[in-house]
Amino acid sequence: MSAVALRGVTKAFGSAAPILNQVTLDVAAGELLALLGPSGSGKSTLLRCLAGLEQPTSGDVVIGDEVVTHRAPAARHVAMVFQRQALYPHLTVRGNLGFPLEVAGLPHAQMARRVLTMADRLGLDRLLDRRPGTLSVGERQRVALGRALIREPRVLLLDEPLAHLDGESRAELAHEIARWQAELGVTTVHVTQDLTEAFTLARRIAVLEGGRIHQTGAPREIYEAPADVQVARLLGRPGMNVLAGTARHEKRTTEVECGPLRVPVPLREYDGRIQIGIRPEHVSIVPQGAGVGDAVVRLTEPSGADTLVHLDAGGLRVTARIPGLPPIAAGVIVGLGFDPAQIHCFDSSGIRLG
Amino acid sequence: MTRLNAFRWAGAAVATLTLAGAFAAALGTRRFAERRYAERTAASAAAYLALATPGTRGTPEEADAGELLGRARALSALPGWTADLEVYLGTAPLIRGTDPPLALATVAALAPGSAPRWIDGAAFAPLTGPVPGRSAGAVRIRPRAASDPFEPWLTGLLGLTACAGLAAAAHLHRRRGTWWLGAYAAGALAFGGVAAGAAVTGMRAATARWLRETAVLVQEAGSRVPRAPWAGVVTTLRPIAADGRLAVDTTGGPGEEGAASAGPTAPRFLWFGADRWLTLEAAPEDWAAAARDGVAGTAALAGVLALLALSWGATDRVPPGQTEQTLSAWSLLAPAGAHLATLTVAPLVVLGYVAVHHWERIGGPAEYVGWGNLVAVALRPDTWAVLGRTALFALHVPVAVAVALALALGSRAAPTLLIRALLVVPPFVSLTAFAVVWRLGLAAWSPLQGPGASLWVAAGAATVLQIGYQVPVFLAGLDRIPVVLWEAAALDGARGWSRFRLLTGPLLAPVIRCALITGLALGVQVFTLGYVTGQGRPDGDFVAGRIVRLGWVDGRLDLAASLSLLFLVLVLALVLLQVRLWRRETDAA
Repeated sequence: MSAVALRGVTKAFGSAAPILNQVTLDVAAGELLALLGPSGSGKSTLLRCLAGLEQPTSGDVVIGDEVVTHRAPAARHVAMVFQRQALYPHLTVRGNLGFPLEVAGLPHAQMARRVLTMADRLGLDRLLDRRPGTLSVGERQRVALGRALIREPRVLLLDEPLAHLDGESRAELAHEIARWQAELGVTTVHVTQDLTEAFTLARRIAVLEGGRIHQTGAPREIYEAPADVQVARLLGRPGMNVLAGTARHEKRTTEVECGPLRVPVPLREYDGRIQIGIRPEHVSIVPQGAGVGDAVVRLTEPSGADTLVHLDAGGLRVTARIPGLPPIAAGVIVGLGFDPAQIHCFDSSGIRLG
Repeated sequence: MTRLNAFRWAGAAVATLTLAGAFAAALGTRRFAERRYAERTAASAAAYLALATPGTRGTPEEADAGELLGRARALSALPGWTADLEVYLGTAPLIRGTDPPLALATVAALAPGSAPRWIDGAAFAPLTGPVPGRSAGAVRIRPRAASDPFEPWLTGLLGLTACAGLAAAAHLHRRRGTWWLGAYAAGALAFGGVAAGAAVTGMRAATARWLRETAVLVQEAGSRVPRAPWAGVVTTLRPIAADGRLAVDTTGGPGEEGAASAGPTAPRFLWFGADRWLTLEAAPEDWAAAARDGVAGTAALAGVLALLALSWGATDRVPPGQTEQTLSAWSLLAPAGAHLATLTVAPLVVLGYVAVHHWERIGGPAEYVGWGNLVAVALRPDTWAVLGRTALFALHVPVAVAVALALALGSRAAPTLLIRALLVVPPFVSLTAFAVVWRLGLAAWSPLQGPGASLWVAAGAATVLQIGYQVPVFLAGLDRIPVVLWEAAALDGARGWSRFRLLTGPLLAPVIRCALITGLALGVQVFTLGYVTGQGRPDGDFVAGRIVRLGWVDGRLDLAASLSLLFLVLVLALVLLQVRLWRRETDAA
């Protein structure tokens, strides 16, 4: 059990813009951190830098008390589960599970015992003599997880291990990973693009985009108080509505003018360019003229439990999530209601205000 | 069989039959032209011989054998006269005296004074004897098919058209069928054109040849008959023209323009001194032959039309049936099968046949000896010495494969272009170049001259070449291993030897096996290297070289064949053993 840290890690390939830009991240010993980011945000590169498969251009990787930046992968005692295809195709499940132990030169009897124990715990005992090619995707990832855990690594790195699984087995394996991690207490970094997965697994989430860590915190904290516009947009499906406008402070209230909308915001004193954000579930449809402004319904996406209503307010796109199946048709003009307590304010560069 | 399949079968049959018909017609026209030439020439030659052998006129009862023999021999050697001639006096051949005599049936068929007959692939004309109404013998002319420039084209087009026709039939009522039908039509058109062209040129060439050669005969005979009266000369010489026309020229010679522009089948002018000219003209061409040309040209097209009609008729759409799949599978296998049959199976059969007979290079096949040759070869001590040397030589293959694998792994670690290029170059250096270097310099270097040295030199050279062949193979094999496996292995702590033992080796195993088997198969067949380095010394002598020496130096083809068979059996046993071992290994894993 070791803490993991990145200190100002930058990674660039050639002269292109860096994939990772001055990333600093701390993972406490025994913690499970979810690294959330869209594809291309650099999260896999970050993980590979941790594993030693990539050398950072600058900055340091620290595991436990040691700086391991220039150590070989094997010397870091980290294990990694890849997205797919990382099982040795010529070996059976038994051979795959035992591979790290065999490399380490463990006596055969001891090796066989540990493989059996691991297979038993992962529910793989009936697959021991099968080859990876004959297993389902879920079973393969289970084996990969077993292979990663069998040599009791200091750090476990999961590179979107659930990305290719379908619904149920995905949720099942996600819970299992969480249970395992808690049981073994191994420091874990779990890379994902899936919000649900991150929320299910992690107590703490780091949001990575464009090679930068934008925010680190508990899921609730990140969801309810996104540090900037990117985080706000990234979390939730669909993400937060972000509208650019101009704030005007008059007497005691501040009002933001976004196109035809007039939105009162809970800021004491602010004048000038501003961005406001509100999640779709906090937007309501009210009678015309009763809300912050009027908008035209562009299209609706009913899904039973709720309905996404895409609206157009003088060129500004706003999405609302309305419970149930509201009788709203495209082309109708409605009023928009914004829950004042749920309005987030960001300055013109996207940083959270207040 | 579904209705559509019935249509397809019918289409295939039509395409095949019409093409076969067209091909046969084209060949038939060529043959017919040769036959026409032979018949005319036989008649001309018989007339010439009757005319030019005065002895046959002198004695009342019998032809003068000596005179006729002399004339016949002179005729067969006459410059400008190229026909394959035999003259029979009675039934006895004169020119090739050891040939079998004329069959009595042939004699009976040749009525005196009758037109030439075509019997058993040769034209026979009765030779008029001294007694009117009785033949003195016969003249035989065999057609000599000149090399036919049309033949490869005809055969090639036939093959292509047949393929297109069969494909069109198989694709009746499918979208690609139209495409194939078009290809078939184009092929049939081209084939018909070439076939008709071949037929016409064949006829013209035969006529021109007869005209040219008969002109020579007429000139020759003309020098033997009295020139006066001039009109009588024509009467005397006329029989030589056979079915053509010989006449006194009344236009006063060919004239300069006429001589220049006359084609090869135009009437020929023969000069008999002063202003006396004869013209020799061929009989008009046969309409029958022309009709055959027509058939040759259009039969294939008829097939196209029939196939078109069939494709209109085939109306139900069904998935390909069992028979069709089988047929197409076999037709896809056919080229490889033909290759295997002609280049592997047939030589093996011949080899076996030679091996069980006493068969010397000079003298050819003799009596059946069964196992005798094999036993003789197996009992010769030098056979086993040669086999041993070859086996020793073949040991370079595992070495080369191991080195190549190591180099490939190394160059993957440092994959610079230069290193890769250097590794891949050796196969492009030919053995000939190596031989030159060897002869010019290395062979004289004393460490390479000791007994047995050339074996090691050959093995060394072969190793370098093999490495060059194998490195790209291994590089390709390594490139096929997903990068993520290397990374997983790196994380699991596998490096260097353990990584090779547990990951790279097993994943490359199929490539290594293939390299070993092909390397061994090529290695034991070594000939050139042994030839270059051994220069006839026994220590450079490998099995292949020994086989060649046995067969073509010692002249014992039977022993060479037996040694080949013995060698084949040993190599097969080795390969089977390898395959068996590997299969067990794969099953165990």
